[in-house]
Amino acid sequence: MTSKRTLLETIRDDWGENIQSHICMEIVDYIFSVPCDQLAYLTYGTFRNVTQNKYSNQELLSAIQYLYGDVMKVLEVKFEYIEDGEDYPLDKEELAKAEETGYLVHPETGKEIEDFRDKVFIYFDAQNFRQELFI
Amino acid sequence: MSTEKKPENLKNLLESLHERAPWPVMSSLLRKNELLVSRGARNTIKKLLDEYNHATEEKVNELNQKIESLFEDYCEHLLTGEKQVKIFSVNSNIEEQILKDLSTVTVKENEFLESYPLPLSQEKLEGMDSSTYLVDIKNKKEVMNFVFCTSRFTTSRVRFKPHELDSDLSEILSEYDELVGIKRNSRQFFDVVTIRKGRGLIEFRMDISGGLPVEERPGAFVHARRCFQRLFSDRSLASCFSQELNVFPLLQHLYSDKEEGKVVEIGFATGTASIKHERMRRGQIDLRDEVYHKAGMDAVQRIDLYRLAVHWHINIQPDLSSSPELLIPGHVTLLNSENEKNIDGLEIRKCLGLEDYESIIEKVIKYLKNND
Repeated sequence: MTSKRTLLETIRDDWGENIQSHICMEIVDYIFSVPCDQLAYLTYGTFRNVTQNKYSNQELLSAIQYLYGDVMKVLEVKFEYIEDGEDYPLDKEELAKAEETGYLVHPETGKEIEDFRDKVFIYFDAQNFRQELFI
Repeated sequence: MSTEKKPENLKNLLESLHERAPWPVMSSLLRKNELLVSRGARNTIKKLLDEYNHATEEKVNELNQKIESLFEDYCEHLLTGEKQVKIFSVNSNIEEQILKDLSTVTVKENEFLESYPLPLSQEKLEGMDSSTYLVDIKNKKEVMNFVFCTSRFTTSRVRFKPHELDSDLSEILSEYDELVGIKRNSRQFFDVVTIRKGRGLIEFRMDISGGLPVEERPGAFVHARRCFQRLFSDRSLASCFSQELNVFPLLQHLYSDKEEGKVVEIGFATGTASIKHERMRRGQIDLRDEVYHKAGMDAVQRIDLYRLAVHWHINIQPDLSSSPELLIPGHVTLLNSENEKNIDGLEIRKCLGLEDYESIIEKVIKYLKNND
């Protein structure tokens, strides 16, 4: 269990004066500024808006990677399969198997899909982190 | 129980189940019968056949029992799985006459009986016209079911790369990354007509497994109704069930009753001139409890619903559950109609069997009766 203050200190220690330090802090500030139930589905687009499109993709991606990495675990990575406007949650185990075997099992039909990569999308959930955090 | 190995029967059963049931339903039915489930339908079928082919005599006996139980579940799924439902009401006197008239009906010889309750092979289906045949009558204490089979065309989109074509075509189409073709397939459909004895209700359950296109459904229903009407020896009875129940009032009942499942989709209009179509991502909370929806509801006096989907979570065994879904598939133009708002059908999907289906249809009947 950690607090927002120690979290921000860790970010500062890890990134120093790098731009990612600012990005992470803006994202963490956002996570603390909205009710927990509004943190269930966050996307790259969410974070681009939160940081007002001030940063390059590369800078934003590295900051987000840091926030979902093993050290911080602020964001929980989740995946979904989207086809013809229908979305299906994907568990990480199935996705790992898909990478290993070269096919994904369609969640609705059970059929094997080889060209699945452009239909798998990433999103982030920060609810657990917020609920567990000592403010 | 027989120790005789019948791998062909098992293969047909598994492939038919795969063809008809969504994967979450098929895998749940296999688990319910303690049969192995592997990664995806193809792998599962292959491994189950391998297990069966290499089984000892003792093991075959055990497997045959499980397969027989799975077969019963498949038969139940034929009656209840992936259906578009239309309900007609008749008065008790007419119902009595209908039941009496139909009590003499028998199933006549036809090609579908060769494999029923399993579907015919694709090769045989391709050579058939779209005639509908009665294949089964199940006369039980509370219901009388008539099962019809027909072969209908469905279309599917097939994607392929130009380099997969022969060399001439491949060169002509070389500037394309991907091509999409529309493929026409023959598919066997199992439509069911159910008379609920003593309740004055006749139910048409049109088979929509495999995604029968929405535009094909009215024609399919008209065809099925005609086939059912032809069974009557007293032709005057055939026109007695023209009173189709309007399921529009269900929208408000299901939306208002917070105890009813989880609302996953809503279409509605507001007095502020907006049209909203809201959908929750799978596995997330009830739409009625979602922050944005609740705030909107607090801000307006009322909403006018035209579409609603609800799903229920039903525990079957400690580690097995089902998630049947009900969709009332209205369109916003219903609200603009001068006439009484009418939705003449609903979709019931992802039922594991009769219990799931009946639990939903009884809710429908309960709410529609309360509306009378």
